[in-house]
Amino acid sequence: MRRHFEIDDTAIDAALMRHGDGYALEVGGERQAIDLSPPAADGARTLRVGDRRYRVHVARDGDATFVQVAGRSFAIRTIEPLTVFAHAGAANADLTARAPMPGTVVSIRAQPGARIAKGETLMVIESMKLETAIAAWRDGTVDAFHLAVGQTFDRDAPLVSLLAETAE
Amino acid sequence: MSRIGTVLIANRGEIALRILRTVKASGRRAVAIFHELDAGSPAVREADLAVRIDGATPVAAYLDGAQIIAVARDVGVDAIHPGYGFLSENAAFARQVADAGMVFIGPTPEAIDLMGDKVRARAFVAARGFPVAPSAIEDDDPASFPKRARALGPPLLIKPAAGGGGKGMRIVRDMTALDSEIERARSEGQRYFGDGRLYVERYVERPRHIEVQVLGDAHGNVVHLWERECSVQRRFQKVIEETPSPALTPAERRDICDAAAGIARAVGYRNAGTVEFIYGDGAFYFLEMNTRLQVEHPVTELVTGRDLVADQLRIAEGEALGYGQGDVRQNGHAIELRLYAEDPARNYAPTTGRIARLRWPDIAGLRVDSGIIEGQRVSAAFDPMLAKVIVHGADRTEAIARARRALTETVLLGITTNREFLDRVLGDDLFAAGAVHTGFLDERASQLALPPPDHETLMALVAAAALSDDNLRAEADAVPPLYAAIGAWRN
Repeated sequence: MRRHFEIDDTAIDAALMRHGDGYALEVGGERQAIDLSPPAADGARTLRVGDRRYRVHVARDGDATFVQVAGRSFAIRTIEPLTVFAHAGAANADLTARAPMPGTVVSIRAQPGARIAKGETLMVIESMKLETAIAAWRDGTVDAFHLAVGQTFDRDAPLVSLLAETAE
Repeated sequence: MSRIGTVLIANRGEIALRILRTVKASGRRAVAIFHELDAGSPAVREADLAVRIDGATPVAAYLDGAQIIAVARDVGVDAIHPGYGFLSENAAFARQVADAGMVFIGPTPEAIDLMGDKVRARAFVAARGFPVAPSAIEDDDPASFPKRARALGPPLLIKPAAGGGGKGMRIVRDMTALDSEIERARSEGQRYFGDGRLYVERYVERPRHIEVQVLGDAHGNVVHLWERECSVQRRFQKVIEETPSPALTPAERRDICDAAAGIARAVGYRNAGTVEFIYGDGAFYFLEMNTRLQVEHPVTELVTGRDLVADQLRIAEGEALGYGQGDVRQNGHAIELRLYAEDPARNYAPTTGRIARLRWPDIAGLRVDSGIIEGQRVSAAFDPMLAKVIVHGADRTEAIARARRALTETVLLGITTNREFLDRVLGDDLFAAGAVHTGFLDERASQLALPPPDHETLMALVAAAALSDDNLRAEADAVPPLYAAIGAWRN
């Protein structure tokens, strides 16, 4: 019942537990009774955290929770502690270039299997009418391009991978 | 010219829906075209007929004039409305539509050509006595170009002759750098537009962007529908537009609007167009003319009470405008906010996602022109503008208050937008004072940045996320309360 919550650049570890007829939230040793009412006709719900009350809108999409409070929307990502650990220890983190922002693939400048030097342009993406070159971040061999020319992608989508270098 | 019974709308998103509504409300049939990414969009749902188009990229589909004309012929439409962007300022497309026996709802190809060539347009306007910024044009005499540029004095703005969208423009404040900046601008012009020719203008520091809506008919009637102030911009793209401009005195307003109508008359302009000016230090200069309906046309509609698309349709049918300048009044104040799928905190980088929830509020004076619906996926394939929140009030103060209420009460979940940022801008002291210019957002970036959520808000967000997570709740339910309590005290 413990989870890792990410809101923008803030990470919070929290636990949900039963508390009388309802629930409590425990963060950093501090525990507060919490409650979320069912949605009213307009979709709004009443959130209670200790003595505070908020009118909120909540929607979920996979491991993301979207909450609007006081006219401001937030995305909260929920991660199981085990997953956090697995990511932190991921080997070969330099294998794949991911999209810095959503966009479209304009051109691909190399072939899988090709030897490339650091700084060489591997592909060109376009976002908001601006073209950005994805350059090789080290010397190596192209493993695969994950998208074809003309395809669109979201932020963080894998673009191109290099082969793992064998230990010298 | 005969009545237009069926209109194909060669566009997408909010503007396709906005045009479609007037087409249908005036008793005409509306045909939508769509790329498969837009299959679930509101315009496709509301159209009398929707036809799928394809392309190498989604954008390419909407730029494929031949394919669109073929669709229009197949289904038998009388006219094509291009909206804005895409094919709207493509003179060749306008000619092809006419050649195919249909009506292009917009100006003549000649007017599009003239105004599309920035140097020619500028010379045309200057020759007829309208104000343009002091300038030097390379083509007039290439050998003396640097000397003539230097004679204008700083600050200068170097622009590519074939340019647009702010690309290749360079500001020169230190005249010793003039020669090297000319070379840099030339190579950028060559790279972006395949044309290295340049011109140089006197640069107006902290300029305002003020534009004037015009309408002309086939009978020589031209009216203006007053100005719009569009100075709040990021990356040369407008974010907030309003009318009337808080900057103009009544005399300046009359002069700038008369100049716009005069320019339209000189061009023999037909249909809807916008004359853009740079305004600063009490003077205004012609910038360019956009030969189409603008994104921000609704603010004009709210203060004048006119439906510009309805007027476009009547003009395209050959009808006379039917009203004169004296009939066009500015009533109250209107503001438009462009809701973008972007993150202002990450240098306005575009965002993607699924619209998980969407509710527009019910507020007096509010109009929403939206191309999105709940459940829709927003991809990076198109322009990031999702919708326009437009408000009308008795005066500017009331319009700002209504706009802020509209933003706060809109429920929009699932994708990061500039909604909160727009509210910060509306709440800014300088914006409230009307003291804006095209560099305003950059200059005020630190004041406009959203503060991070405080501790209480973070706890509320985590609580909402935890309580709406069925798996997490089930795990908590499985642990007896006493044991859970002990577990927590261990920390």
